[in-house]
Amino acid sequence: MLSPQQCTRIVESEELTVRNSLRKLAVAAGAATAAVALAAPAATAGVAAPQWVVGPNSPETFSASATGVVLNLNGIPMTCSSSAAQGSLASAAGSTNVTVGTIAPLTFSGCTSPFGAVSPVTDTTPAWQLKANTQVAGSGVTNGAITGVDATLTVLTCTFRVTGSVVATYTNSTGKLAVSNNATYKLTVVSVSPGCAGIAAIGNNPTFTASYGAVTPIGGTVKPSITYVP
Amino acid sequence: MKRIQGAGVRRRTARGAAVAAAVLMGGMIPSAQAAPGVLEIDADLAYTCDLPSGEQPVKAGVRARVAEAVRAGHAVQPEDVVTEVTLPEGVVTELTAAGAATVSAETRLTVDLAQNGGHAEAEWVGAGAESAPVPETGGLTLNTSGGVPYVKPGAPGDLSFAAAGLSVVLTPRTAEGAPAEPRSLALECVLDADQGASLATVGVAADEEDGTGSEPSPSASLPGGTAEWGDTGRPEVGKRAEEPAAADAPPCVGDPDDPFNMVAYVTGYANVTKLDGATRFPVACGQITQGETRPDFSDPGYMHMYQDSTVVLDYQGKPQLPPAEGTFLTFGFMPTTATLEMTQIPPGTRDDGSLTPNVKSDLAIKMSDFSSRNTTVITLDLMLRLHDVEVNGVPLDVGDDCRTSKPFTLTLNGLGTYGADGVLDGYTLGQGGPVTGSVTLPPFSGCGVDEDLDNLFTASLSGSPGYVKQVQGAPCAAAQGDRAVCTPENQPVDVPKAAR
Repeated sequence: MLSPQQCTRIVESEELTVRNSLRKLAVAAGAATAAVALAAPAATAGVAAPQWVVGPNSPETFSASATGVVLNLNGIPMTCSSSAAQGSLASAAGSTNVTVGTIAPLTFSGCTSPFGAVSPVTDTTPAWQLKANTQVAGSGVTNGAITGVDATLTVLTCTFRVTGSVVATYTNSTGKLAVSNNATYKLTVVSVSPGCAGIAAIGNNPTFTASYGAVTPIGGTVKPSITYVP
Repeated sequence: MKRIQGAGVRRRTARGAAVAAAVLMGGMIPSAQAAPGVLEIDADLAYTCDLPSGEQPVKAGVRARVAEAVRAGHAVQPEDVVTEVTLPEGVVTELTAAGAATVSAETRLTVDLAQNGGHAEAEWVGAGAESAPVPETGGLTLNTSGGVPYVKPGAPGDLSFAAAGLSVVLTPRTAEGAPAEPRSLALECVLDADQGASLATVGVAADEEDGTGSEPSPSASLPGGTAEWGDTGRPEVGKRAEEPAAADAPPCVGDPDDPFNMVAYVTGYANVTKLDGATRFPVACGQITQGETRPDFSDPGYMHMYQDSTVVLDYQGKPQLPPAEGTFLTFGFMPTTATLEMTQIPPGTRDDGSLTPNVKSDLAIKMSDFSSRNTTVITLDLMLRLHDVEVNGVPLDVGDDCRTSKPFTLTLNGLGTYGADGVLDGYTLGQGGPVTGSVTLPPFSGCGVDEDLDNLFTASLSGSPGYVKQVQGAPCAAAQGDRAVCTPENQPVDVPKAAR
C-alpha cells in the first residue's frame, strides 16, 4: 500500500512523461483515481482513517537493548557497552508524526571516552516518544523519530546536557530499532559546565547512533510490529 | 634440565656485560655473572610501527634473564629486562622537525605466554633511564628497563615466552629541556611476519612438594602483576599477583565550589636509587585543577585535544606524599631503613594567578575511525627528607634536616589507547591508570648531628636513575557530584592498589 503522499508524488512524476506513452497514460489514470480516493478519505463515507497499527497486541509493553552505542561530540567518541530501554507501544490514528510508543526508562552503561569514563544520566520524565512518519507499503520498515530526548553526560569536570530528537527506523522482520541523526532530527547541547571549554559548547550537535533489539512484552521473545494502514 | 629454544635465546655472551650495565642504570643490583640454570634472553626483532607520518621499520632488542626450569606452582620471574629500540632515520627526522634535542622512551612489549595449548599475555613495561641526544643524521637506539610480571604455571609442561605487539612512547625535549611539540610521539608496532618471535622456553616440572614457599617475594623483585595459570591449566589472563591491600586512604576531599577541581588517589612503587628492591609509597592524595581543553586540527587526519592541568599533592594539607618506609644499603652492604618524606615544590603561578600546569595531556583522535591515543606527562618537582634512620637495626640520628641538597624532577608518563571499538586501555587523567618514569636523586645535605653523614646517603642513594611506577585512581570532580566516582564526602571512590 502507498501512503497518500507517495501516491501524489507518483502522479506528479508520471504526468511528466504521460504525453509519450499511452500505456503510461492508462497507468497514471488508474493511479490518479486511487490517489483521489485516498487523499480525501474523510469526505468519503465508509473509508477508515489512516492509522499506524502496532502488533501483535495494542497496547503492549516492550523492552529493547543495544550494544555498541556511540555518541560523537565534535569528533570525540563516547561509547557505551550497552543501553537498555523499556516502554509501551499502541496503535494510533494519523499518517505522519504519529506517536506509536513511549520510552521510559532508558539507561546507558559501560560508557567511556578517550578522556575516561563518561556518566550519562537520562531524563525520561516526560517519556521520550517514538514517532512514525512513513512506511513503504509492504516493507515493514517504519521511518520515524524519537523525540523528547534529554540526557546529561559527565566526563572529567565537564557536564553537559543534550536535548532534542533522533532519527528512528524500526524494522518489523528483525525487531531492530536503528537510531541515527539528520538535519531534522538532531540533538543539541543546551547547557555546559565551565570544565567543558574546548570539549562541548552550547549549540553543538552531537550524533547518536545505536541499534536496539526490541521484544514484547518486557523481557519477552516476540518482535513487535508497526504497520501503516492507509 | 636445560631447555634452550627459540631464535632469541642463547647462553650468556659478551653482550651480558652491556646488559648488566644497562640494568645497573635501572637501579637494580644484578649478580655479576649469570647463575647456572639461567636462560639468557637475547632476541632481535623487526617491527613495523604506525606513526602519524606513515609506517616505519623499527628494530627491537629484548634482553632478560629467566630461570631455565621451575616446578609447577612456582613463579617464573624474568629479571634484568631491557628493551632496546632502534629508530630509523625517518623517525629521527620527525623528532628533529619537532625541535627535539633529546628524547626519552617508554616501551610496552606484549609477551605471549603459552603452555600446554593455553595462552596468556604479559606486558613488559620499560622506561628509559635518561634522555638520549637526537642525532642529526642516522638512526637512534634507546634503552628502556623496568620490572615485569612474573608467571606462575600451574601444571607441568614447557612454558614459552614469545614477543608480540610493541608500543613505544617517545618524549622529545628541546635543547633547553622544555617539552617539544608534539610533546610525545606514539608508535604502535606490529611484529613483522616471517621471523621467530620466541624469547624463551622454560621447562616446568611436576611439583613434588606442595608448591609453596619458593615464589620470589614481592619486595625482592619487581613484578608488575602476574599472569597465572589456574588448576584447570587454562591461563587466567591479567590476574594480578598478591598485591598488598590498599592501606587506609588518607582524607582527600574535593572542592564542590570549584568547577575545575578533581581529587584522585595515587600509589605505587619507586626504586629510590640504588635501592635493593622497591619502596611502596602509601596511598596519597592529589588535588587536580583541570585545565582548558584546546582542540587542534593542524595534524592532518587527526584532532588533537591538548589539556594542561595542575596536580598538587595533599597530605594533611601539605604538598607531600604520606611518609614511606624505605630500605637500602649503606656502604653497599649494611641494611638501612629510613622514613622517606617526599615533599612537592608546588607549581608556580602564572600572570593570571592560575597555577603553572604540570600535567600535560595530548589526546590524538584519528578522525577516520575515532580511535585515539592519550599521552600524558606529569612533572613533579620534589624534595626528599630522611628521618628515623636505622642502620642494621641501630638508630642513627640524622637530624631534622637530612634532605636532598636541591629539588629534583620526577617525570611520569602515561599512555592511554582508545580503540575504534570504544575500549579505553591504559592511563588517562579522567580514568586513572599506571604512569611510569624515572628519577635521579641529587646529593644529600644537612644529614647528621654529631658528624656529617651527607656522603653516606649520597653514596647510597644519589646519582643513578631509579624506576618509578605509580597508579592513579579515577578522579572525583566534586562539583559534578557523580556518585560513581565521588563519595558523599566528595572523596574519590576509587582507591588504587600499587602495581609493580
